This record gives sequence, structure tokens and C-alpha cells, in this order.
Amino acid sequence: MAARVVLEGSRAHRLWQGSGLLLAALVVLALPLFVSDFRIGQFSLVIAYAVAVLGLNLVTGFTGQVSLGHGAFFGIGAYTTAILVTDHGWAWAATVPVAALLGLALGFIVGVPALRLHGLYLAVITLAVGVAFPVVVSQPVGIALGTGGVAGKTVQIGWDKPAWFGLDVSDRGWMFLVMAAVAGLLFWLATGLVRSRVGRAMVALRDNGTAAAISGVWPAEVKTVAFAISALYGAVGGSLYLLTTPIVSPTTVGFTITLLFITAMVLGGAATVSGAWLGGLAMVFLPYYTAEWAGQIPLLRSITDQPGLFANVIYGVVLIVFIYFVPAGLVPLLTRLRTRYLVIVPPEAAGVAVPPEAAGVAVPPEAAGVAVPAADWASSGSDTTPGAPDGGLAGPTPAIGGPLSPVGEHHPSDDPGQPARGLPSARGASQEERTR
Amino acid sequence: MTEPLLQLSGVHASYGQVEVLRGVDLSVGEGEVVVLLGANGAGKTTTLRSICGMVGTRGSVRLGGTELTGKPTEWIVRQGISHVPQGRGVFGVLSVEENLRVGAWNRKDTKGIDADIDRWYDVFPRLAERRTQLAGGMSGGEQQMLAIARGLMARPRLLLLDEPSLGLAQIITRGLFAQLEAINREQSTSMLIVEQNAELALSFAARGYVLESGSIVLSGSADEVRGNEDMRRAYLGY
Amino acid sequence: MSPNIDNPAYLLTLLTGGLTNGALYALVALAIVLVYKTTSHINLAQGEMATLGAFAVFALTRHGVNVWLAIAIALVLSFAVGAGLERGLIRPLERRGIFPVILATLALFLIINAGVAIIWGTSPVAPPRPFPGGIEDKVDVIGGAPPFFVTHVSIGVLAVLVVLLLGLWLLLEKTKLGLGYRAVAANREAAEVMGIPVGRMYMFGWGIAAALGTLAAALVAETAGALDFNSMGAILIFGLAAATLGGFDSVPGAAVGGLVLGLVMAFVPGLFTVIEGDLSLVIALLVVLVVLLVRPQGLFGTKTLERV
Repeated sequence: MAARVVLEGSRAHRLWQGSGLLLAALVVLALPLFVSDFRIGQFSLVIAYAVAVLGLNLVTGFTGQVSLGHGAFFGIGAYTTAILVTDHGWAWAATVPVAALLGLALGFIVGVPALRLHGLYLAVITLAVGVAFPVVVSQPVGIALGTGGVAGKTVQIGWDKPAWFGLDVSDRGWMFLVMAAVAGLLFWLATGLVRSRVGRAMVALRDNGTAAAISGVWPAEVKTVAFAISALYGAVGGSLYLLTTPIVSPTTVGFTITLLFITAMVLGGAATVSGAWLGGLAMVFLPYYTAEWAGQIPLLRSITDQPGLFANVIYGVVLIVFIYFVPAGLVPLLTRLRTRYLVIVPPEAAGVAVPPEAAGVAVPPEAAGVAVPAADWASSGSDTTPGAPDGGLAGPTPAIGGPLSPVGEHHPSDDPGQPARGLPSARGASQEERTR
Repeated sequence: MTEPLLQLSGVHASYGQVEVLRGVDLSVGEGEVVVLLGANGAGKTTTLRSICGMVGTRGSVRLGGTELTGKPTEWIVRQGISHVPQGRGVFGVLSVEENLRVGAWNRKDTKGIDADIDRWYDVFPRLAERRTQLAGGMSGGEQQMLAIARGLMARPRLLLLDEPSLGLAQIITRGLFAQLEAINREQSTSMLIVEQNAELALSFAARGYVLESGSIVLSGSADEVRGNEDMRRAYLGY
Repeated sequence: MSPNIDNPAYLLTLLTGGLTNGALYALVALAIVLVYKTTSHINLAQGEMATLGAFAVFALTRHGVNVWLAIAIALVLSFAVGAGLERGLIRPLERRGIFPVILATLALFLIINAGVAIIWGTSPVAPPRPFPGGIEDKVDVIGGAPPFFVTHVSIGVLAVLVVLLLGLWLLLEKTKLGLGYRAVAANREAAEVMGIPVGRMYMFGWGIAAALGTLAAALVAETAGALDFNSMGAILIFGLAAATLGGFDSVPGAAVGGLVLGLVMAFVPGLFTVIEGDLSLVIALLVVLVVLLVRPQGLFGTKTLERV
């Protein structure tokens, strides 16, 4: 079947995008009307995890910085909300900005060593942060802050559906919709971020640090910002988590959840925004069905009384399978599937391959010159990084010479041909030099 | 006619998308010294690397009739090739003597190895003085001597030398080539030498090749190469 | 400040305690370094592999095998598993850079951690005891209050470390295998040109590392008096901290780093009683941070920064 070709940014493209979003919104609204509260609880958890996974993806998938401490970011958000709600009587919604800010601060602190360290050293630092966090909250110093020690912190967030809300949903369903709204906002901001100058600087840094530095990306600034934003998303994910689960304990925010976040990110697709949803779904439903399945098989039941443990084995196997066979994750696969029916062409590419007036005419995707994301995920493009910069000096690498744009600012029409404003600071360049 | 020791036929080599060699034909006879000349980036180093299987290669590389293309480096080396890489590549954190022993990795004759070590100590007395020192602490010239001695520890049929004179003082270079000449004379070790110092190399080699943009543009006896007008202007400077 | 600060028996107790723990950290650090030296990778599943090895010792002794024989068998098995994982799981990912390799070791972490919990349960088991670990199994040095004594376990652990270091030194410095390993660590490409089988040296490093880890885990279980599926979680961090301190590519550095870290973690809380609770992980984190920011190559390391 021939595919339909759509020019990126054209009216047809916006129409497709708009109807897709509308459909998604309708599905979300409809869920609490037709699905049991138990399932809604599961989908709520998907939202909380998806936000956290997106945060990890921003720093690891897009910026290429190994982060093994994401559980700590998730934890600081969850604990902040739990302590403020339970001990200080705050409303949940009021705790979220505080959690977000604390997350931002912790992320910034973790990001500071990233200014000088690369690769494995950064992995070691973030790993130590991730492992130390649950220990600190269970120690006297944490208990003094109200963490509840090893037993954890219980929190009851009762949130009645307000009278003005017309749809006939349960309180659980209402909380789900609130979470969906928060997540929708965060995903929209992230999409804007990765398309902005900051986002392109992040990708440039990941693909070729030296070239990025030469073309005016400041590695230090970009890395710190990426870590801070990543932690903010993690912390908000932790706050959202408490709308689904009435307790947070050191085991909740241990190294295991970091590993699950990482697996979820790889599964959905590193360097994709939408992949975080698939990751969140896997984090909730994979252990659920695994436990059910393992509980039904007498042999497995006889080995252990905790069939949930099989889920972690499966996570590990899934992770290995994906590293080997689907390194770019599921989203690029789905995108490729979609291109059989609908091809979205960036304007530059269309200028070469398809005459402008031919947009909307059926053309086979190969002929349209659409770059299908490479299978090598380290340099994979994706639905969210159209025309990823090749990092070459003469290439389309955006010049980021000036101050960084604020978070989430959207520059859809930035001129990629803007000349670099001189060389970056010597510090930035020499830093990359030393990594050779 | 018997096949030469080393025979390259139509060798293409590339790093990723960039093709560096475009059909190189070259041979080195038994006991012969051949020099490979060319400008920077012409593909001289890549030619040596393609012989050792260190770069993706198409075409045919044969050593004494055995096909080498597509084989792993460690196997190719066992067939009797020693490669002294550019920039020497000595093991800086190993002692001089350990470097020499690594060179003899594929040999089993302990006595022969010890004898050879002593032999190269005789040839290069500077190495003998520094036998227990870490190789990384030595001067450039000493490291070059070590790299060559290490390459010869394998008792190769063919020695590949990549820019042996790089960074060495004139007088040391002359001494080095005198040693190479002696080695070639006494052991009839074949040599393929990549060298910037064309004058010196041609005075030592029997034949020469000139590489340009990944293809051989000139070949012949050392005198023929030296006598070529273009060649002289480009590489010898007169 | 602790009131016992001028009591020699108290200080000596801190010293031996610190050295004993430090020896264990040193063993894990050695495992990390032996993998890193040649491959430039860190095996984040090193601790979990070690736990698996310790459980293998446990399972063997439960079937009546002598504890030292059980350890020997487990060491051989660990070597084989470590070398096999390098060849089968890690090597194919080598050329794709550091991140896929990190992910693969994390996957191993998940699988082994959960696998051990499935097979042997989540509650601690009484570990096999290579050294007598009763209350009376000690050597009294200074009487009085507080007394100073050295347990047989401490003596045993430190003796194992000394013997191991000697063995490793002989293996790496005096054998052809060790020469090849060091050549690959020094310059991989040059080693390849010399005809050294680089891949086999990687496997050798992984295998030795896995065996060292198993030994460490068995001794950790012995000193802690318990073994469970999470036993090595924190120890891996201490091992990483020790390796960072000593320098990721230095074998003696790993040993010194482990011992120094053990002493720091014994003396800091032991002398400053203001610190409540067990914050050893935080101390380890601080050590890592300070070392990496001030002297990234560690005390004895040479490589300053590895591939990005």
C-alpha cells in the first residue's frame, strides 16, 4: 500500500497531530468512565512512572550522560510530598512545586560533578547517590526530617471529585485525570525542550562532544541543566506516585527502581519522548502479569513464595534482548510501522526529494528520502529529534553561542544556519580535549 | 615464476564511509627491502594496517601464497609478520625487557628468546642499560629502537616499519637505518618501510612505490623512483 | 569527640576493625580493577555475581562439602562464569561503546539478584564459616576495659588478602599470561599486533574478577554472620569507592584504597560520636566525590579519563 506523505509543519501535518492528540485525550477521559478503580489505580501508576522515565530519558537518552541515581530523584519527590502532607497538613497539589524544586536542586548538585567527569566516573557518582539515598532516609538523620526510617512514611491523600466536574467518575478516577493533566503538561514541555536550542545542544553533546563544543555548545551548562531537569521530572514522578500508593519506604526508592527506570527507558526508546509511556506501561503491567502467571504454574510457585521476583528476571532478560536486537527501542519501530501509511517529511528533505506541490501525493516512503532511524541507538534519531545534528563543523549543528534558553521554551523556527558566535570558553574545549 | 613473499592485489580499505585505499597492488620479495612513499594521508599507514588485518579490507593480501584478508590480526601475525606501528606503540608501563618478551609472544623456544634478547641488547646497548626501566620513561629514539627490536623478537619473515625515523634526530636515524641494513643482510628479513625521509629510505631499499590518494602512481627500482622528475620535485625537493 | 579517644585499646580495636573491613573492600576493588584495566568497563553486576558465588559455597557446604573445598569449587565455577559472560554477553557489545555494556551489566544485576532470591529465598541464611567465628575465637592482646583483642575472623580475612595479593602479583608479574594481560592493559592495539589474543585476556580478567568477588562475598558473609540476596549491594559501592581512591587501573591501588577506606569508615564514626547511625555509604560517596574532583586518576592510577 502506498503511503501518504505529509510535509512537517504543514496544515495536513497539524491536522494529523491534532486528531492524534484529541484521540489520546478522549481515551484518557473515557478510561475512568469504563474501567474499574483497580485498573485506574494501575494506569495512575503508569503515569507516575512515565514522568520519571521521561526525566531519565532527558539526561541519558538525549544528552548521553549515564545516570544511575534516578531512584534518588524519584525518592526526594515522594518523600517531600509525604512529609509535607502527613506532618504539615499541606494539600498534595501544593507539595508538587516544592518537590519539583528540591528535585531540581538535587539534580543540579549531582550535575556539578558531571562538569568534570565523563562516562564511567559519572556512572559511579550517580550510582553512589542512588544507593546512598535510601540508606540516608532510613538513618537517624533522615528520621529527624520525618522520613519514618526503614518502615517508611505513610500518607493518606483523600481527594474528592469537585462538584463542578461533570463527568461521572470516582474519586480515584478524578485523581487519575489530575495526574494525566500534570503529565500531559510535563510531556508537552519536554517535547518543546528537546526541539529547542537546549534540546539540540543536548543531542549534539551526546553525539559528538568535541564537535559540539567547537560549534558553540557549552558542555558544562548543558549537562547541568539536563541533570537538573531530569531530576525535576523524577521528583514530580515521585509526588505523583503518592496519589497511587499510600506509603513510600527506602525499598521503594532503592537501586532496583533505578534499574527498572533504565529498563523502561530502553524499552520505549532512548531519545524519544513518547517512549516513556511504553516504559511506564511495562513497569506496571509486566510485574503484575508475571506474578499472576508465575503464581499459576505449580513448579514456579513451589520454588518461591514471591512470584513477583520473576518479573525482575524478565526485566533483565528484556533489557538484554533490547540492547542486542532493538537498541533504539519500541517507538522508532512503531514510527517505522507508521511510515507505511503516513510519512512526515521535514521541510528541508521535502525540498530535495518531493516537490512542495507534491506534498500530500502518494509517494513510496523510500522515494521520499525519509531517514528511518538507524538501529544503532547511540546515534539514533527518532520521532522527536528530526534531523539529529551530525556534529560536523559544516553540518547543520545548531550554534548555541549565547545564553541558554529557559526550560521548555519552544523555538520551532530557529535558523539552523545561524553562525557560531566565536569559540566557546577555553575551559569547555579543553575539557573535551582531555577525554580523547 | 615464484610468487613474492608479500603480494597485495587490488586492495581497497576504508574507515567507515571513507575509502582510503583504492586498489593497491604491491609486492615484497623474499629478503627484499621495499619503501612506500607518499604525502600525508595518501594511505601509507593504512596499507600496513590492511596487511595486518587492522582495517576493513577488500581485495587480496597474500603472504607466501597464504591469503591473509579477513583473518584476525593475531593469526596474521603468527604467519610471520611484525608490524612496528607509527608512534612506536611501546608498552609504556612495561619494562624494556618485558616489551621484548611480549614481542616474542608466539615463540616457545625459551633459550632462543633469551639469546635474541641478548643479541638486541648488543645491537642497541642503550636498551641493555635500561632493561629494567619502564619503556615509557625513555627518549623517543630509545623507544624507537625498542619498538624495532621488539618487532624483530618475533623473528618475522616480513617486517613492516611505519615511519621509523619520525621524531628522531638525523644522526640517530642514520644509525637506525644502518642497523636495519645489517639485519636485512644477516637474516634476510624482508622489509616494507613507510618513510617520510625518501632520500634515506631509497638509498637503503631495492625498490620503491609512491602512493597518492590511495593508489600506486609510481613504482620501480630505487634508482628509477629517485630519477623520476615528478617524484623528485614532490618528495625529494630538488 | 569520643570519650575513648586517648584509650589505646579502643583505637586499636578501631584499627583492626577498619583493616578487616578494608580488606574486604580491597577484594571487591581488585575485582573491579582487573576488569577495568583491560576492557575499560566496570561490571556493575560484580557484587551480585559475588553473592551468587557465596550462595554456591553455601549450597555446597549444606550438602556436606568441606567449606574450603566448597570455596575452591565455587572459585573455579565463578572464573568460568565470569569468563563466559565476557565472551558471550559483553564482547559483542564492545564496539558499541560504554553505555550498552553498562546496561548489560545492569541486566545481569537484575537477573542474578532476583534469581538468587528465587532460589534461596529473601531471608538471610547462616553462612558457611571458613574461619572459626565464635565469641571465644579471638586473641586477647590488651586486657581491661575496654579490652583489645583480634578475632580469628579478622586474622583470617587479612591473611587471605595478603596471600591473594602475593598470588596476584606472581600471576601478573611473573607469568607469560600476566605479561600478556598487562600488555593488553597498557596498549590494546599494540598488543594485538604482537599476536597476543586480546579477547582471551579480557576473559581472563573477568574470570579472575569473578573468582575474587566470590571469595570476597564468602568472607563478607562470614564477618557479617549472615548471607542474603542483597549482601553485596553496599559492598559494591565500597569496592567502587576503594577502586576510585586507589585508581581504577592500579592493582596495588585497589588494595591500598580498600584498606584506607576501611580505616576512614572505622575512625570517622568511631571518633566523632556526633554522627548518629550508619552513614558509611555517605562517607563512601564523599570519598568518591572528593577523589574524582581533586585527583580523578586516584592515588596510583595512570589513566586520567576514559572514553566518554
